[in-house]
Amino acid sequence: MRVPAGGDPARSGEFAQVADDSLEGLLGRVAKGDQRAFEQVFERVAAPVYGIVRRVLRDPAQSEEIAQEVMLEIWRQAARFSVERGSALSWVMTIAHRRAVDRVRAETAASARTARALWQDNRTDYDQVAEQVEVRLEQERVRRCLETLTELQRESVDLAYYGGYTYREVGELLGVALGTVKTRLRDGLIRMRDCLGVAR
Amino acid sequence: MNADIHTLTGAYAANALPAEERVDFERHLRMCEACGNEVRELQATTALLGVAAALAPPPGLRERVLAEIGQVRQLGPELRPVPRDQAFEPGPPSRFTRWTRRAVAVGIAALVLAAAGLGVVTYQQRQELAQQDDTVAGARALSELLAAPDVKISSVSSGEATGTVVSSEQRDEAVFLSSGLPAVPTDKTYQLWVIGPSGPTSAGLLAVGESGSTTPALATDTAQAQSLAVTVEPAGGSPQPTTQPLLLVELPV
Repeated sequence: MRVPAGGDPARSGEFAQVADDSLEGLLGRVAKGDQRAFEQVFERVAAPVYGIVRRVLRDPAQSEEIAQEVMLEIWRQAARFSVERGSALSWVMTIAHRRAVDRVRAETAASARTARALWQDNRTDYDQVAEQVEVRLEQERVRRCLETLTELQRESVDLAYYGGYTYREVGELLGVALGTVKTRLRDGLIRMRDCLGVAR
Repeated sequence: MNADIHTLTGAYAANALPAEERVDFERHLRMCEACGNEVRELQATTALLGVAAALAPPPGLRERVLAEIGQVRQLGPELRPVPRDQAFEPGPPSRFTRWTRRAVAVGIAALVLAAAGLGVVTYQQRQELAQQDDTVAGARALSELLAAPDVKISSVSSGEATGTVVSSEQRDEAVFLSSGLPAVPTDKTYQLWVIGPSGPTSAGLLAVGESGSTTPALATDTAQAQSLAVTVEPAGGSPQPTTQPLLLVELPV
């Protein structure tokens, strides 16, 4: 599996010669029903997709079910992907994270568990096993950048993204005003963007 | 919607907005280019946070997914709106041009219907600037939808009230219009729902003008949905419907 080092691969020059092999190029072929291209997409994104779903949901069986739904969604919606709205990796990860979060919210509503109870066993765990070196490097980079955030920014990003909480729940958990959570989330992600060197 | 909606870009990119605020923010995004750019960058950032969590998937996943794609129909691409004069340009006669023309004719009928709703809105705009975004977005979505080659319209009446849905499966969108809904007290609101395979999801709140028409409201992810419904909810809306629908319009097949 290849993990892009950051930035928008569609816009960076090195991808120009191998455009057809980029995730964007592969999705274009998937949109036309190319199952071989879909297999390649699967190889590249299955681990990030399963990983983020698992991080948010925790439960392995549920995570597998959602990861499967996400991969089928990528197949189904490939023609709706548009480079104008961001990179293919962003598109895939947004679908994956959103599905996981939607599942959490449906369950939370159903069982009326409080956010505080969930928080106890849902802290970010950086020690999860990473098999590929690239992933470990990427994790290292993300961890270093997370360390440049203020504590409130980091907690907000962590709870919202990895915890799958709404900003209202994050506000409740951290005991801060909603306006503060909104700005900390935004400031935190902007700082991460600059630290990770995401193309502007 | 309030003035600080721009600061929601972070919460949106982290998928930390509750469902109904997500719908509102996405409407705003259609209007706000600066927000769109920021959202793109922040989503690229959260994508990397996600990649950092990568874990090898369970061994059976690949086989199951590959076995299943053979049974899942893919959606068509999102079609760009056809300029009006092009849509009318007489081409070689075929089954499809006849169909397109009929669709456009039906579309214009709906546009007239929508204009009735929009007239009311000019009054409301003066009262509530926030409303403007929604209304313009709804109207723009409506005109784009009317240019879709597979546009369909269906209507349902219940007592005095009539609900109309203009939808396109290819665009995966529908616009809801209504007239004759009674005014609701200030602590209540009308809310629009998309009823899909996994139950109702909010498509935002509906504003009723003086004439009793609601402003055109855009609903997304409708290709797989069965119907749109309107309920009365406490002011500010509900995450899930709490009352029986006043209007329930089946999406045309």
